[in-house]
Amino acid sequence: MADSEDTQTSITSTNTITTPTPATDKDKSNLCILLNATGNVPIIKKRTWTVDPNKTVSWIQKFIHKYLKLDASEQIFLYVNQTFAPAPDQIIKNLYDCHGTNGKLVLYYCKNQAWG
Amino acid sequence: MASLTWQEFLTQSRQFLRMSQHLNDKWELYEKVMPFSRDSKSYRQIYNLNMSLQNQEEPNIFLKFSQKVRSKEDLINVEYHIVYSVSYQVPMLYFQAHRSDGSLLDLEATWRLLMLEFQSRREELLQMLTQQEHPVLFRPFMALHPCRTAEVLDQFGQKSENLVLTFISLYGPHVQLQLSNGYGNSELLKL
Repeated sequence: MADSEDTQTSITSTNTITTPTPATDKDKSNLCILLNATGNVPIIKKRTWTVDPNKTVSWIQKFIHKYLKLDASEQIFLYVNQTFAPAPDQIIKNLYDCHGTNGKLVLYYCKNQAWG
Repeated sequence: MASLTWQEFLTQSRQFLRMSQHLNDKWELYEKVMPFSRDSKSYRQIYNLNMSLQNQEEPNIFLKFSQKVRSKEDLINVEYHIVYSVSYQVPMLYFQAHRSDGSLLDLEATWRLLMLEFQSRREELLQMLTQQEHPVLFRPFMALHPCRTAEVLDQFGQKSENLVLTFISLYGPHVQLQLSNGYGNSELLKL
């Protein structure tokens, strides 16, 4: 887990706007996503996040997994609507282009043990 | 539990196929023909979705998709089948992978070449992947284990509109089967 450090720093809550001016360019390019919990997964209090558009779906899955401190055998699943789970190597920008509404990409997440 | 009846599987597979045709994807639906058919092939492709099936009483259809996967050593031809599991009442993903010289990938090679994300979790291999008989074709295929599928499908807040699509999009990526984003378009479900 070499990228664990920047995982924490590069995903920033929209509630805390403490970034200095050089970052505003970056903020413009960042996309707004809304995380909704379904099933028995713990709820993340901050629902709105901004994410680098080039991050992948699996990166968000890993982020939530770590944020909720889940067990390694449990897996986070992400859905764009109630039916479709995007491929893990899909980047957020593409998803946003296909499924974004009102300037936001709504993602649903749930967890389960996938095997065994 | 989010399990499916055979009739639901049938309806949703057809709906999935309709979506695939709309997106110009290459999914196909096959039906096993009656055992006494003179036709040398034991199953036929269903091109027209309005075509009625010969026998709707037993699980005798499957969705099929083929693609080539590039690996470190070779180009691998993989054929994926989505089949209804009577015991678990969920869709199951069966697949068979061949190297370019025609040889079949065994369990170990399948694991090594197709399931890249799990390389560090070797001990879970047998919980995920089994070689077993294809319920329609009666030939040995690799299968992803279905015992948690209903549970995973059940984790939705609302009921999924098409569990076959949900299943493929959830489990496919584990074995390099990835659906395009177009399938997420909810308008397609109304086709």
